[in-house]
Amino acid sequence: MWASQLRKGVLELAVLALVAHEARYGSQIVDELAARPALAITAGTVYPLLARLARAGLVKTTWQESPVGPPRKYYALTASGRRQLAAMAAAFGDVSSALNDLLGDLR
Amino acid sequence: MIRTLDELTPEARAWAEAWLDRATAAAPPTLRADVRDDLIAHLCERLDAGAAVADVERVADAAGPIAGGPSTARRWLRQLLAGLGVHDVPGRIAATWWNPADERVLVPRAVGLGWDLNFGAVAVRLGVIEPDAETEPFASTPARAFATAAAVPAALAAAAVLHYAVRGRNLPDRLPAHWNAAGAPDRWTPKRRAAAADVAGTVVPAAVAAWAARSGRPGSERAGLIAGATLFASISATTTVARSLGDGRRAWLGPAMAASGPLAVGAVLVWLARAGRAEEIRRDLEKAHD
Repeated sequence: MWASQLRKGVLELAVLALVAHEARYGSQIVDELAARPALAITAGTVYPLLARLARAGLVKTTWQESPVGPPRKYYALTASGRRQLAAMAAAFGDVSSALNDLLGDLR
Repeated sequence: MIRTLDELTPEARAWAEAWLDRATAAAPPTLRADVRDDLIAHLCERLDAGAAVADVERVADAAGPIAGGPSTARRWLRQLLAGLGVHDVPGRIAATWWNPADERVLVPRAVGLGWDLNFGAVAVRLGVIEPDAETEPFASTPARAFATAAAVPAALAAAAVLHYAVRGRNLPDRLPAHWNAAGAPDRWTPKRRAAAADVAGTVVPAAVAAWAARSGRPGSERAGLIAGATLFASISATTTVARSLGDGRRAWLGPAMAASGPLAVGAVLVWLARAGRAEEIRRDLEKAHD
């Protein structure tokens, strides 16, 4: 339960970071998150989040031709998405280092 | 995203300026300039340089009424409806009945208690649409698709009117008004009353759908109104068919009556969403080829 809440809390950061490198399409984002067991989140959580990020103007969507089927909708960071990602990454870094410090040799 | 409205095409910019004038007219004079700046920033954040007038219109619609815009009476009505939990019913119906991003097939009801069917989740499972096909459901659906969807309740209304006009004289004086679980009529009503109920039950929804299709309301509201109208018209049209079958037990009647409304609504919503998806694809691929 706690681990699932933690994953949900960092999901937005994970998705923004994923599309920061290069534009990705929806099922690719779901698959890449699923490939990281610690972040494994279902499509049912990812798609509503993508819609929310698009409405907030943090990611922009573009349909592109696919070489193997119908066109795909790609997600890419906008300028404000990039700023948001930087702020979230900094906050996450602070939390992470504070917790590492607290946990110290308990692990 | 653009930095100033100057980056828009002359037509889109002219529309945006006219909207800004209208939207800020009701704001207190001391705040007008600030409100205008905020609205310009809102538009710039959500528009690209190639935005068409329709895109600007969509963003402006989504911004909602600006404080001071609607009349006092309309504001009171909205507050009253919000208090009763029945504000923005068409928009909420569309968002509840069509949410492909949500995996749940049964979702809390748009209005009242209970559960509604999320046709969007069903469509995703059937593979007829992607969960993220439209960024904002029905926002890109073109006017001609709404007009086609509104033709469904119109066709049901025409069929009901024709049925009573052509076959009316040959129908018995009393027609079934209710059926038991086995599909046999257990209550009857005079023919005239049945005809009036069935014709009104299809013609009124058809008129609502036709009005919604032509209205300039946001896509989700138009979709919600047309979907709701299709549901009512389907129920009435199926009742007309059931009445025409007369006496006798038909076990399939109950399931057929229960399924016809959702099937018609599902078809209409899939049609509207796929039209919106096609429009988004066309726009993006055209931009890429330019």
